[in-house]
Amino acid sequence: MTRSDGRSRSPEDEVILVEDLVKEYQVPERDAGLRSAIGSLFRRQVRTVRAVSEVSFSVAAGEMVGFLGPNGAGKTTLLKLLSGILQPTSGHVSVLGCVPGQRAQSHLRRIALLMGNRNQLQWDLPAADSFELNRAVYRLGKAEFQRSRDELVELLDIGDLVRRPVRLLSLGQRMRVEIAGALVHQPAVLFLDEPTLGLDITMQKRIRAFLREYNTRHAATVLLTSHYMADIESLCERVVLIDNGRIVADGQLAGLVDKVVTHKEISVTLADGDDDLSDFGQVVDRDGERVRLRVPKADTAVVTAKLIASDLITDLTVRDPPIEDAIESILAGGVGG
Amino acid sequence: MNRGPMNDQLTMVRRLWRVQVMNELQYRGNVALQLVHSVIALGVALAAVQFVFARVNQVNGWTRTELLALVGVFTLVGGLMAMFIRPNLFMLVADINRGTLDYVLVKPRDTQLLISVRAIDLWKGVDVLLGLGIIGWATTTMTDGPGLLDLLAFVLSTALGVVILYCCMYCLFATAFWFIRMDEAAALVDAVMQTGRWPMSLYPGWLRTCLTLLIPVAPGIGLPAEALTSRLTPLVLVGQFAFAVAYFVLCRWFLRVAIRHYSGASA
Amino acid sequence: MTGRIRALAAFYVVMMKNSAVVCFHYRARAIILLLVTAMEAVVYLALWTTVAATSPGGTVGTWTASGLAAYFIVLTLVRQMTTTSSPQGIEERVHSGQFSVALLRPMHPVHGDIAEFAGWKVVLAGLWLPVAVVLTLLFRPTFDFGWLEVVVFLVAVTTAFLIRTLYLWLLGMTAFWLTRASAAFDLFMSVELLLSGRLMPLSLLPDWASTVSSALPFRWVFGFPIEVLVAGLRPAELVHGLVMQAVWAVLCGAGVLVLWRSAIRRYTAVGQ
Repeated sequence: MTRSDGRSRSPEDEVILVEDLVKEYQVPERDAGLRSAIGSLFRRQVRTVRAVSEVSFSVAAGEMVGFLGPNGAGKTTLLKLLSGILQPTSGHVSVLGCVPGQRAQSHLRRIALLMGNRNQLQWDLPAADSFELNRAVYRLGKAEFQRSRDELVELLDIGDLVRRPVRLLSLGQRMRVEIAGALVHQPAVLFLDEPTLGLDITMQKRIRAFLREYNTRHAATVLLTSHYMADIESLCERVVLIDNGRIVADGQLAGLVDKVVTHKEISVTLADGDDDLSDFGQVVDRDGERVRLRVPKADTAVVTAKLIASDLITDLTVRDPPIEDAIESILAGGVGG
Repeated sequence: MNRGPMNDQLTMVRRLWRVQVMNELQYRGNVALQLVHSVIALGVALAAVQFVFARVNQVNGWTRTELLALVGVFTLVGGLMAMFIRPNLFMLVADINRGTLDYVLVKPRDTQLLISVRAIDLWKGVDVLLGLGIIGWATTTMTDGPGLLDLLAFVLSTALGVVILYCCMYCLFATAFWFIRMDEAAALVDAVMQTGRWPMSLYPGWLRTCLTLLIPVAPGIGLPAEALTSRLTPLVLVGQFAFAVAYFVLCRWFLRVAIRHYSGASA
Repeated sequence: MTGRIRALAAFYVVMMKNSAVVCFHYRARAIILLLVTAMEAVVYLALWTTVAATSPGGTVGTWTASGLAAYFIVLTLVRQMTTTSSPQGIEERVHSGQFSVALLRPMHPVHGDIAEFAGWKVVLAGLWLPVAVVLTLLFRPTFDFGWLEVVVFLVAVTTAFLIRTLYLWLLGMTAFWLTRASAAFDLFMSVELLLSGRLMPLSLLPDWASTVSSALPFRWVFGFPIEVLVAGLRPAELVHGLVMQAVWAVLCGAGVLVLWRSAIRRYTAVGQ
């Protein structure tokens, strides 16, 4: 396996090692109706659900990896298995040389978990008080705690927010203080589950910028799940696509997309609304005078030249199709040749 | 920074409680309300004893002042449970339901310690004080009051009783990891605890066994009251100690099992 | 006029049927609440039968140990039959603004509560039977009633449910005026516990308490229906009891209607 910078990996580099990981749940099943209700008193029917199915991968120190996939794909379950909250049904996991499921205290001091829609700071108190509490829980020395806290306060720009009760903060402000609280003990590995969930665009960008900066400064390894493409695009060179508990693709985002994206989009504005452009390429969309064409990548230059020469158009733009479409098609069919 | 592990735990616990107290102080109006509720509850308990003693002058060998001492013990132990044990139990169940227990599991601290001490209902301290007050009043007006040894036995028995009740409650509420909904269980436990208002010798043998082994009202409330009224023998006190130790070991093991089966509220 | 009554009757039938199905669906919850009630009775049962057994003549007042056992077993049934909407529930509805919806309906919201809880009664009675059998085997009561008493009991327990619903509604409505009504609720329910016959048979109350209790509706909700089945009341006493129940029902009903008008005025003026 090669790292994102091209050098080959040795096991000592790997901060996270996952091998044939499986997680299964027993889910009770019952049909509607009175008879089934009575029946369920005597015999419980269960269905086995495979939330994570033979997943294998590794993560090097300082990497930022994004886990992308539809809802229910198993991303959050995978994150919980890596942070030690869930025990695997079978397979091996190793984080920082420890088995996370054993939850050794020395190990837990080096990791952090943050879930986008769930708070852990004290609701009625200023965040500063919760930070102090974390200091006691993580047994941080006074100097190191203050240094870490001050840095986070500065990076996240929460100086005047930490003295206000958390319940009085807006969602974006709350997320920033929550991040500070989760990182004050300077973890080596961060597990982030949908960290930008529900935030507005500006706030999402700020948090992504912070995570990039933090990763650069501290070389922390970051594992991030999201269903916002923008999070992954902006933060993670490496992306792991998950669907139905399986890894569908794992590699650099650009590389993955390139393999799948075989066409480009040309958007044009017609000089005369009636003209038919189907000779030039596949018409994807037509909205009055605006037409979108889909052409094979190799033919883009030729078709563009033809359109310009044809005098049928007044405006032309060439772009890649949205990454979401590419991801969707990967999820639908896998990364083929 | 090595202050020793025990000192370390205590610092953390102190910090947790400090945060809780700060939380509670935000809502100062609650203390007046709590006082009203506590006084009413105590009034009802005392009235009940009064009504019974309008007809008789002893209940199974217990005099009126001894029964008042029992009322005091019931209020005291109830107050201790409401102050230290119940808030943590409810927070545990809420965390299991909302999936926020994950944050507790990821902290580098003993999980049982964290879930046991992180919440306090400060204002229930009123019940603790009222209970102590009634005990003080009853024991000083008793004709044959407790001696120094009895008082010592009482303190020890109360501490052991609280430990036993703690273990039972946590074992019971740990089933929330499987069953999730616990409101009704809490109501049932509360109803069974009411048996502690009267001397254990009143109840038929089978019930007393249940009140020792299933919901430990007898070791929790009955025995301390017996210590206070000079009825507790050293042998029984030793038995209570052994029971507390055994129960604690069981409780710790069961909580570990329960947490291992924790599958999270959502995938 | 008959149209309104017929519409109301139809409403009751539908509500009660739905409510019975829901109660059956949540029977686990109902069973646990039943056990809670039974636990309460067991405490007093044990207390009073022991007191009786250790008293000269084996009686307390006019009650024998087995008579007291019968008393408290019937108490568990009466408790089930008189469970109704709680003042806390009403307070919550006031503060959450749910009453806004009720204001728009052409029917007093108390009917909804009565119908809903009435629908539970059949299921609750059914669940109670096995508990009663167990308690009977454990505590050996003696019963003393005939068909007349059974009929009177059914009427009495229905009226008791009505009275309790109405006075708890009155209590709950104080939430329109008080911001923290829970202290008032607590005090009220404590007095109900002490003076209603739930703690002990009314004839065992100290004299001063008995006097106070006769001025309050509580004894007609618990004490009287129980005594119908276990105390061997004379026909005159049965009639007296039913009349007193009717009086209190009317009084509480009138109170609810009157207070409701001013509650609405306050609610719509103040908001919540």
